Amino acid sequence: MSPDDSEDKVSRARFLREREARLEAERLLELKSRELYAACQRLEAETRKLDAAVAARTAALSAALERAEAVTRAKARFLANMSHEIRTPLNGVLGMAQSLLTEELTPGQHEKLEIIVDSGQSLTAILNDVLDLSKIEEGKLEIAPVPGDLLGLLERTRKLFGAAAAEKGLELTVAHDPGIPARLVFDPVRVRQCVDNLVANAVKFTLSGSVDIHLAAGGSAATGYLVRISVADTGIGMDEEAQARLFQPFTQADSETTRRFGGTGLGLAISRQLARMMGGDITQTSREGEGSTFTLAFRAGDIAGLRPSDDAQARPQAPGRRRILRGARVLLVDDNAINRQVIKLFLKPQGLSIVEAGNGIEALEALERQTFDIVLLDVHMPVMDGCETVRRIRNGGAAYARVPVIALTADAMVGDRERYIGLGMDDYLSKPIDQRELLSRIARLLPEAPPLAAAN
Amino acid sequence: MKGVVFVELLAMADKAVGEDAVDRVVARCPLSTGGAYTAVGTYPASELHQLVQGFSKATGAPEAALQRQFGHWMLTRFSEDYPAFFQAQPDAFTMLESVEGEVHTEVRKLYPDADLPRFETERLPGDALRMTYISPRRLADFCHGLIEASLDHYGETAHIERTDRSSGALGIVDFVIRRAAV
Repeated sequence: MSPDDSEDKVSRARFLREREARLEAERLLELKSRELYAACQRLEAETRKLDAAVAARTAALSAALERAEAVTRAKARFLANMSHEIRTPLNGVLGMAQSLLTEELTPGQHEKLEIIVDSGQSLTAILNDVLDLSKIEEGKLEIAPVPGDLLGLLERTRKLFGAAAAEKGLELTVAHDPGIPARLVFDPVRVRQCVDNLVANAVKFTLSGSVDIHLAAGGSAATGYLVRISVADTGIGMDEEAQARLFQPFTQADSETTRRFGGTGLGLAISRQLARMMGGDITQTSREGEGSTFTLAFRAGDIAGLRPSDDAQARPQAPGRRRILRGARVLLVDDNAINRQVIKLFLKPQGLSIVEAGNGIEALEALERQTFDIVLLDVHMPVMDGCETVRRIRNGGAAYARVPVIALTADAMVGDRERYIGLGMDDYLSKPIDQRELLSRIARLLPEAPPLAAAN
Repeated sequence: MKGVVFVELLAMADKAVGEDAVDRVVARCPLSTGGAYTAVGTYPASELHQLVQGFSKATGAPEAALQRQFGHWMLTRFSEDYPAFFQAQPDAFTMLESVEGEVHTEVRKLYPDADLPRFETERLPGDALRMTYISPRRLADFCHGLIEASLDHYGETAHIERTDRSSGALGIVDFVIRRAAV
């Protein structure tokens, strides 16, 4: 065949060439497909390797996080244990010192004792701070809003720091915007803690001039209120760098501050955490040498949203109903002889009669034998602890099932109070026990008529 | 059905009956492709049957015989195109056993949507292998040819006993291959 035979026809050689080319194309396509498949396999293997690497890294990170969290928990536990261990001997020191104060002393001895008591109380305050912080870090601290009087709260703070301010020649004032509701729903314990901390700092760091507390509130009964309490001083102020460090735990503006003014540097860290838990914050503005203004903001509810009983519960007990301590029969349960000695020294001069027990079993035996007006019950004891003891007192069906019980413990963690009340305790006191506090708590739980007269 | 089967069927026919005869058969069959197939394509299996029928008519040879002959042709082509695979298997039984696991796995790598038949194999006492062909395509004769050619490739002689167990649309055919004692 020649090329000019017909335009329709192709030569045999051309046809064979074309077919060979097609077969070659097919072979090439298959080869490329195989290569593509291999490349895909490699990519998939690479992806699996990457996935495995990511999984390994993630596992390592979560293990590290777990370790870090375990360390934090261990730290918190250590703090709680340390505080417990420190409180027990501190209770002895403070108790004995307070008891000595009631004896005949020379003015010099009296002054030294007062310093011992003062220092002991400062140490107690520091312990409380450390415990609060560890509790916050563990997420165990809870805000408990109840109806309260904000202005009254600020007035109490002013009275508390009035003497210290007057001593330094400082003016301490309280003012408020008009139209602030007389009663609001907030956590008075925590608000007080924050405000006291801010005012204490202001008084501490102000050498002359004034400390002014101002209360303002925005919002309405329907939406709730955002309360702002600002504390402005004319004190030493801070530069920006110091302000940045301010809210770090255990940090103060500088080490010179620590030397001049003392303190642990925990107060602001705790207060800010508390403010944030209450839906607000603590903010500050400051100029070095010109003073600082700290503002506590927190959310407060309207009183109208509450059942009447909630408000009644929060109302302080009516004053004037004096209970008579003299002659009251006290069962004192504590495994630590020094602790018992301290309480005895506190109570004996008031004419209370005391029977001692070293654990829960001994306490129950004593209750079987005679009648008591009140039981002071340590929580941590060998043989039978306070929690089990109060459970048996309340549930045993005995004549003494309703005897008032005050828990005494060195575990002064916030929230413990609710726990102990829930167990059947009537009240709760944390060590070191303060003499006046103890007496007033006992008095509150005693029957109104003199117990001896009633018995007769 | 993979395009390579069509390409090879036409190549075998070219050789057996000549290009003109093939052109006539192709022209008479109503093929969707007009008879243009590429090895890397995929086409309806029904067209393979049409072509086999066409060649049967043109040559007077039974379809079954053509399928079987095509099996021989196909195996020769495979052994030429993929010599490494045949070298890797020591004898016909291991080669046949590897079809399902290895050959079809390789095919699926290149053609993930390939609709392949299933083969089940079982060694029987007395140097025998049962190979079961399972497919709706009804190409048992083609398989038969492939098995015979495999034995030929390894220089083995065997007796093949075939049992059709097809049910409904699914073709199931047992081949019991009993190797002759040497």
